[in-house]
Amino acid sequence: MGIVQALKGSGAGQVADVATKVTGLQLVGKQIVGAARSISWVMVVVGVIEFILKNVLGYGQLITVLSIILFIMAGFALAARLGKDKLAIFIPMILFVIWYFLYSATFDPAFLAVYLSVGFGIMALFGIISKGQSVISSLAGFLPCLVLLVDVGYLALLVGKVGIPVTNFMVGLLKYMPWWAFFGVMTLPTEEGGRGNALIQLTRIAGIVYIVFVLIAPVFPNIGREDLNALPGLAEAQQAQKDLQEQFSTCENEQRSYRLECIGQSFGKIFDTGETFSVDNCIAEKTKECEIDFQCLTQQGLQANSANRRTPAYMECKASFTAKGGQSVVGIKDETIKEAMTAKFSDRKSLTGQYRSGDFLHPIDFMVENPRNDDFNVLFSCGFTSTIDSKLKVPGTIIASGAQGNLLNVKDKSVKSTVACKPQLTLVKGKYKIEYQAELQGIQSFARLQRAFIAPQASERERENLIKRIMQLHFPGQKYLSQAPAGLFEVQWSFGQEDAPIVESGNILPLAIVLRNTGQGEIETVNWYRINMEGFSTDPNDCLAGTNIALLQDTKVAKVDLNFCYITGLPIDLSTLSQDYAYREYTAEANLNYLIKATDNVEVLDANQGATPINISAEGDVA
Amino acid sequence: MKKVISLFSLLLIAALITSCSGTQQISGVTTNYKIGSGDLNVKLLNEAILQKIIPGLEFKIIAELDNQLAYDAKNLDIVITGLEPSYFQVYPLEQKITLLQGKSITNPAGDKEIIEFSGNAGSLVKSAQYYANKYLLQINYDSAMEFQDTVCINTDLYGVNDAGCKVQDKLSYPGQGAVLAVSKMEQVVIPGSSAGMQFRIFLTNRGQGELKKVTLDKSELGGEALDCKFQGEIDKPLEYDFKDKQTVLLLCDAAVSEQISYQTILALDFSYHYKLNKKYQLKIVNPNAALVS
Repeated sequence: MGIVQALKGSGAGQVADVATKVTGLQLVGKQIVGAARSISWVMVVVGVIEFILKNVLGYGQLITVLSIILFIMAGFALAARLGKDKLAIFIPMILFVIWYFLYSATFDPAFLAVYLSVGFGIMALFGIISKGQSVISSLAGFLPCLVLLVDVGYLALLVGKVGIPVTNFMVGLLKYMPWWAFFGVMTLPTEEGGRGNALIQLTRIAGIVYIVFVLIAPVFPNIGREDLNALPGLAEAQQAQKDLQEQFSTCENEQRSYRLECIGQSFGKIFDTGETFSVDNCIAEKTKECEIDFQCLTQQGLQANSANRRTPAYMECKASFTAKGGQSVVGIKDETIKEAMTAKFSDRKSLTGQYRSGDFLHPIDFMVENPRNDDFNVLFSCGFTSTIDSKLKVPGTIIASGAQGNLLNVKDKSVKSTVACKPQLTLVKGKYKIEYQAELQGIQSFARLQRAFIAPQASERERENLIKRIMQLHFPGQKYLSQAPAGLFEVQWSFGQEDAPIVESGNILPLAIVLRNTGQGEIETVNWYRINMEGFSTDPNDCLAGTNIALLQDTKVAKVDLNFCYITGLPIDLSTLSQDYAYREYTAEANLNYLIKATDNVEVLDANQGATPINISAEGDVA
Repeated sequence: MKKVISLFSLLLIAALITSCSGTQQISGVTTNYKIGSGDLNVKLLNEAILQKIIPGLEFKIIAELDNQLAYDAKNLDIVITGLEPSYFQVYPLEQKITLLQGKSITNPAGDKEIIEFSGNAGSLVKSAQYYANKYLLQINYDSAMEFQDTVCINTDLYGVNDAGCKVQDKLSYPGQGAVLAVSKMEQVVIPGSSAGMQFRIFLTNRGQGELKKVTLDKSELGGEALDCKFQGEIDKPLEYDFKDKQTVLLLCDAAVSEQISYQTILALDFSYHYKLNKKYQLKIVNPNAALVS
């Protein structure tokens, strides 16, 4: 401040202003540095960031990692706040982490009884050693665990699953409460601890104001649960219960529990394999499944239970949705195949596209990545359209490197060809759009699908146990869906209930197969498809294969529904099992023609304007 | 520092407690194997190799069965379930072992047996880097469990006539060296003219598998047969299928004619069928992909 006064005193007003700003910035910097010494303040900042990211991006790996970091920070913040018996705080936190991650948050009563006894035993021993002083710290250690559970959605789970009425108060908590930041605010150091840091005090005030806003604001119109002044009559209560059940039966509400389930799967995936997992995709798929399930149950007038979901009427309904657009059959990427098939044109940026003569060659690169060494042909074609008069069209002739005429054979893993287009008539001066087409003739893909066939069990309970064991062993996550390699298109198919890959003898099973266009081009024609399921009987008989499938124009760019039918009988080895169950994998393959297009602009100039000369070798390589 | 020392002391105590809860109890020079919990241990000896199987080549699944029960395991049936045959042709899928002796004074380590399943790996789909197949190694076997304890018989509920032994209401047991264990017993005195005692015996599955059928082969109190039945079983009161239950209750009634209290031996012999499911994985890897990576 002395410097500032000195500068002002000297009459150097401008310099003094700059100095004041610098000093102001220094003051802010000093405050931030001072506040950052408090882990609680850092927690508030990181907690707010986590809350914003969660709302913008949704749950994902980043949020998971941030939650874990905040969980650890919460332990230290609590320890700093309590100031004594710091170690005791971490005992319940460690116990929680072991239970949550090592034991997959099991609620097995026998396990919990032993685990909690051991846990409380350790805390009690700690309490005895510290002469009771660590008891408060130990109990406080449960708070970060509670916040972690609430932050990842357990409150939503309680609301969705247990049937707690959703009050405005809860909506406020669910939507707007940044739990970790709240924890940070609650553990911010006091005046003495914070050494009078203004930023900490400001954060505390802002935090409390926000929390009060979240807690109080939503309840003004109808404070908490409505109309608790008088007890409702029996009929009214029953109706209310029914309404509530209907409310929670909708799939939108179920999303909260799906979120928890998907986050659980994401945790498992990250910790087990380190692989990525899209929580949002997972929620979307579960919601779609729920909607179909709800519609089919409603249509058939069925109660929601597992027995009704095995009725032919329900399965038929679900299969029709699956095959005919209510929801398409879905599949996932085959994680055992890393390389994708790609094919694309790539224009040459260095070319100006300006030519002196109307008789020229304009090149473009065509590249194919063919990781499975499939053998297929690419038929090139091209043409010019005047940009001034779109009716003026001139066909082009293709000269492509490595090709015979306009036909390129692809066998190798990676193929590149320079494709030049020459107008068949001399173009007059003007601007033209040039369109290249590459028809990939006979490209193939496939999708694997696994199913488990179970033998009749002695009791329903044994059946359920067997199914549970099979699901855990063979169908974790979304492994019950067909798995296809990434490429220009994907085969997606299913048989039986899509989400219940267990097949029991005697059931009629719906089967559906679609092709999904995942590239930038169009599916031109489907030459053939086949599903390798020898020994199965189907209705109609010719369901497992087809040739030359007619396509509708609007299906070419998105999805082609190939077939839908029923499996009516199993092969003998699967209908009479010698073991508890049999695990099998089947493959569906498809072969089709795929059209890729690219456009570029060229201009034919006057002879005296100058243009880019093009030389082309005998093999078609353009220099 | 004090807190750190306290924490380490705590861990040390926990370690000591853990080490004391083993399955052997030394009494003089003899070891009582029929105490604590035992199990039939199964492990694959070449598990690491089975994660790197080359397509088209042969492989072997080598499993070691180690009977750490205090009783013989009989009629062992070892089955591999859940393999996809187009990737893994394993033969035979089922093997049998007649007997694996349990731990005893003459065989303190218990029997071990190594079994082999031969297999051929199939091909990977084009450009796949690997194929992983989880499967179950199911081991079914029959075994037994014996329970003995000295109990006090005293129908004088209020101790008016007799100041002898006292009936213990609740007793806990660490196990009898088997997966099936008598974990707890309650004794209920029925006073009056038709005096008697009821023993409520809690049987627990201490193993990792499923108890399929438990049969009470013998139940005696001081050499006299007891009237026993599993709770809820009517047709076959001496048989019980645990299914997925962890604990079941056996009720045994004894008529008592003696007026004075005395101590005597309660002996129960059980046989049971057990099913153990061990999860493993076979993995075919693309050797070219491995070289590239």
